[in-house]
Amino acid sequence: MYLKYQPAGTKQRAQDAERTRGRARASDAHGEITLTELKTGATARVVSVAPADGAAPKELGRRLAELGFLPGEAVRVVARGLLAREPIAVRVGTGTFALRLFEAACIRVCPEQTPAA
Amino acid sequence: MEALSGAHPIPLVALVGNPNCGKTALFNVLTGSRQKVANYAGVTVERKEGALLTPSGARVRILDLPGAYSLDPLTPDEQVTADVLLGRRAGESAPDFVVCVTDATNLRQNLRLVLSLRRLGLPMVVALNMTDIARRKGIAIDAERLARELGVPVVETVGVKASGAKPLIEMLDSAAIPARTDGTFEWRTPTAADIERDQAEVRRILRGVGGDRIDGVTLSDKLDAVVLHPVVGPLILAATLFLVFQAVFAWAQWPMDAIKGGVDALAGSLRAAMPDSLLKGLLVDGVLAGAGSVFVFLPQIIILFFFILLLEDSGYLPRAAFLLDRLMGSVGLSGRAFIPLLSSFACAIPGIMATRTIQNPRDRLATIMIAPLMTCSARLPVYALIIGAFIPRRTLPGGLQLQGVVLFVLYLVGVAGAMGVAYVLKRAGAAARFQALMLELPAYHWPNLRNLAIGLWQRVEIFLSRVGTIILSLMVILWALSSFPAPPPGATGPAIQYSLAGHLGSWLAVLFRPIGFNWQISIALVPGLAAREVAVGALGTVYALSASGGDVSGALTPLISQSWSLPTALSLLAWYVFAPQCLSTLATVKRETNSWRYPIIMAAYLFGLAYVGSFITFRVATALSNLG
Repeated sequence: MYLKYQPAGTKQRAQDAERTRGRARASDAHGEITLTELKTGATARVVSVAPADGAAPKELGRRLAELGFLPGEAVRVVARGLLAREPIAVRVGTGTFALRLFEAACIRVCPEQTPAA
Repeated sequence: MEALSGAHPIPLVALVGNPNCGKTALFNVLTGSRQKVANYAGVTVERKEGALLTPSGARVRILDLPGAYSLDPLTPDEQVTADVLLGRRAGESAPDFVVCVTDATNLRQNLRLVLSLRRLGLPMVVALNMTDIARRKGIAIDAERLARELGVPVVETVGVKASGAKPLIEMLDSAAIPARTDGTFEWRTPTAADIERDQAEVRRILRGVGGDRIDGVTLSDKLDAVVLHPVVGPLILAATLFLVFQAVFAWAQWPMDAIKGGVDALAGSLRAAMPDSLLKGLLVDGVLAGAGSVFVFLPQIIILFFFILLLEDSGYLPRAAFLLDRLMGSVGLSGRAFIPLLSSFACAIPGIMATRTIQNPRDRLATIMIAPLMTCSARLPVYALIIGAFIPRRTLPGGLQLQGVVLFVLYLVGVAGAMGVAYVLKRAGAAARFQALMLELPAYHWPNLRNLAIGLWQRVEIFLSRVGTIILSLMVILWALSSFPAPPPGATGPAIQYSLAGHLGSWLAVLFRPIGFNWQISIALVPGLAAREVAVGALGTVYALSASGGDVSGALTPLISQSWSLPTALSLLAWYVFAPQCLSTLATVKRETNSWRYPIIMAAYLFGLAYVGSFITFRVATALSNLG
C-alpha cells in the first residue's frame, strides 16, 4: 500500500492543479516546492509526503513519514553533495538524514520567510 | 518481582527503540556484556540476550534488539525486532516487558515509536536515555509529567555510565510491573492519518514536558557545514584515511621491532639450549617461526582499530557515507551499503551481517558479494610482511612514508575492484532502480574513552586468541605435514621437499607457476584459506624448514626479500587483494543468503579475479624488470 500524507482542503486542490500543470513549473501560488529545490541553509515546513515518481518503491512515502517527514515539521537543508547536488543532508525536527534526490523529491515543502539577508 | 515471576520462571525484558538511541550501551550496563556500541544507526542487527541479577536477587533475561523506526519493518534487522515484539518468532513468545529506550535529545522523533508500542499492549517502561547529553544541551525533560501524559513509567538513564541504569534496574526490581496478560497482540499497520495524529500528540506532549525546543544551527550543523562541504569534505575524508595508513606503518615500527626481537631471542635461546629433537623442531619451526611471525603484527592491528573505533564513535562514519554516496550510486550500490562495506575493513563477517540494514534484497546481495574485496584486517600481516621485505623504507617528498603509500594503494585497488564488480552486477541487472539512502546523520559525540579502551582490548583479545588457537594449531599441523615423512637416507635437499606438504606444494606449484609463485608460497596459500594471517605464519614455518644451513634466524623478512623476485612479491600482493576469503566468510554468506549458490559464485569469481590479477601483475612486472 502507498500512503499519501496531505492535509485536507485547499492545499490538496492546489497541489493537484500544480501536478497537472507539470513539474516544469517549480512552485505554485502558495510557494510550495519540493525539498530538492530548497536552498542550502534555508528552512521550510513540510506540506506533504508522497512518491513523486510512479516507479518509486511504494514504501518510500511511509518510511519518510516514519523518519519524521510529516506535515508541519520544520526542515532545513544542511548540506549537498558536489556532483548532481546529491545526496542532501536534511535536518527535520531534531534529527538529520541524508537523502538521495529521488527521496527528497517526495517531500513537498513551503519555504519559511527568512529575515532579509 | 512477584508479579513478573508468576507467569514465566525468568521474565524476558526487551530493549526497543529507534536506531542509535543507546539500547546496546544500556544493555551492556544492565548485563555486563560488551556488545559493540558506536555512533551510527544499525550497529546491532540481531537479537542478543543477557542476564540481569537485580539487587533483590531476581533474575531477568534482557533482550537487545536492532533499532527500528517503526513496527512495520522494511529491512531484515527491523524484521527481527517486529517479530520478537509481536511474538511471531519461532520458538519464542513475546517479551514479558518492554523497555522503550528513547534519546532524550530527539524525543520529537522517538516518542512516535513509544506511542506505537503502547498500542501494542505489552507492559512497558520508557527509558529516557542520554539524559547527560540532554542536560548539557540545556534540554530539561519533566519525566514525571511525561509519565503522566504517556500513562507508562518513565526512568532517566545514561547508557555510557556504569551507574547510569540504576533507576531502570530499580524499576525492573519493583513489583510495580503489571503481570502480562497472555494472548497475542494484534498489530495493525498505521494509516497516514494515524502517523500524523501520533505526531500531533507528540508535539502536544513535548510542549508540556519541555522537550519541544528545536535548536537553530547546532554545533553538529556547524561541523557538518565543513565536513559535508562538497569540496572540503572529500579532502578531509581522504586526509583522514591517508593518516590512518601512514600511522599503521609509522607508529608500529618500534613495538613491532621489540616483539620481533623478543621472539627471535626466545627462538635463539631454545635453539641453543635444547638438544636436537622433534620437540625442538615443533617449538622453534612450528610455534615460534609460525605463530610468532603473525604475533608481530599486533601493534599494526591495534593502530588500525584505534582509528576505526574513533571514527565509529564520533559519528563521522555516516558522514563518510554521505560524501561517497554519489560514487556508490554510480556503480549501482545502495548508499546504505557504505557502512557494511566499511565494517568489512575490520573483517568481512560483521560487514556481511551488517547488510541486514539494507532494504532491497538485490542491493543487499550485491553488497554481500563485494564485501570480501574490502581489505580485512587479517590481510594486513600479509601486506605488511611483503611491503616490509620489498618496499624500501623511504620518505617521499612531503614527509610521506613510501611503505604507507603502497599500503594505501593496495586498499584502494581492493575498493576499485569492488566498484568494478558492483558495476558488472548492476549491468547484469542485479541492482534495483532506486537505491534508498535515508541514512541518519547522528549528532557528533566525543569518543567515549572507556568505550574505546574496551573496543581495543576486545580486538587484542580476538587477535591473540586467533594466534593462540586457530593459527597455532594450523601451524602445528603444517609443521607436522612438512616434517613427515622424513627424507630418505642420502637425500640432499632440505627435509621438507620429501614431506607431505612438500609434495602438495610441488603439485600446487604447477598451477601457480604461471603467476610467479614458488612451491613455498603455494603451500602457504592452503592454510591461508582458514585464516588469512596464517599464510604469513605458514611461510615462516616452510622457510624455517626448507633452509639447509643451520644459521637461519627467525626473521622471515630478509629471507623472502632474498629468495623472491620483485614480480613474485607484487603478484602475491595482487593475489591477496582478490583471493577468496577465508572459509568462515563463505560460511557466513551461506547463512545470510540461505543458499550455497552465492558462496560458490563468490569463491569462484574471487579465485578467477585473483588469478588474472596476479598473472597480469607478474607478467607486467617481469617484462618491466627485464627492460630495466
